[in-house]
Amino acid sequence: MRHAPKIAAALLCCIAAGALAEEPKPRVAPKLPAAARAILVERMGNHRQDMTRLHAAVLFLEHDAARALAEQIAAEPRLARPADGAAAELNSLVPPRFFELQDELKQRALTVAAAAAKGDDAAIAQAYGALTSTCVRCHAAFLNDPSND
Amino acid sequence: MIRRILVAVDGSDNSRKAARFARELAGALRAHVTLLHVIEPPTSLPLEAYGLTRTQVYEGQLEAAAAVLSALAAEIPAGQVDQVIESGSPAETICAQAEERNVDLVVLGSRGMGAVGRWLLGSVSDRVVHLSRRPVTVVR
Repeated sequence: MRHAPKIAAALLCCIAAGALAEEPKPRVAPKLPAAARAILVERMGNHRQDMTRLHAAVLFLEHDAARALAEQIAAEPRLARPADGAAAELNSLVPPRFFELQDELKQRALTVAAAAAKGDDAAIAQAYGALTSTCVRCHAAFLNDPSND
Repeated sequence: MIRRILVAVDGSDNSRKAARFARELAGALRAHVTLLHVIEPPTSLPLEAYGLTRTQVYEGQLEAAAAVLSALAAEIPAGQVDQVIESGSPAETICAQAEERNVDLVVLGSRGMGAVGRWLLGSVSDRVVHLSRRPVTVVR
């Protein structure tokens, strides 16, 4: 029994290492052309990292870090809404709803940053919840869309 | 697969975002980035009234363009980026460079004018997405 904590720690390390090694790549609609898919996969990969770090900062009430990360998310380059009738523009292949949620994400990230700047933990929790609801709605709309399979 | 990315920059905030977008994409895909700055010759300004010659203005533009490109290129690994300064009509020059360099993607910053502004003034990004035969993505 005295080895139990060591075994548990070793197991946890293995699980953590496995989770890191097997982290799934973000999925996007396979209907998109390769160039558009490459762009979205890369953007979502960055977004995942930023959100993971923001989650930790919010969870542990690290206000300065939360503010900086939320501002960083808000300042991320966003895809511009497409021009009409421009066949070469990859942005025109992205559904219009994506652009609405992209703008909402920016606004909500700024709300998190403002709450963190004030050190208002209740407001941070509420704003972070709203931010993640944007992520979830976007993923629900596009990530698991059956028409993508 | 995206191997070569052309990003057009002019020193504006959105073009810096375009460069960042291209840099991050290139980093993930191990693609090569060409940073392009197009100098638009001053055709309608009464330069003489300001005591300037066209050469002086062009040299000033060249210097400013080189500074913008160098700052952006410094954020990308040296072997993965080159810098190009061209002179001419921006949209046409961007499209010509995209063809000449056989790029897989053109990245541009939007001017963020909104629909009315674009309709009234037009924009480089709008012209490029209509003229280009290469895939284009516009960021803001």
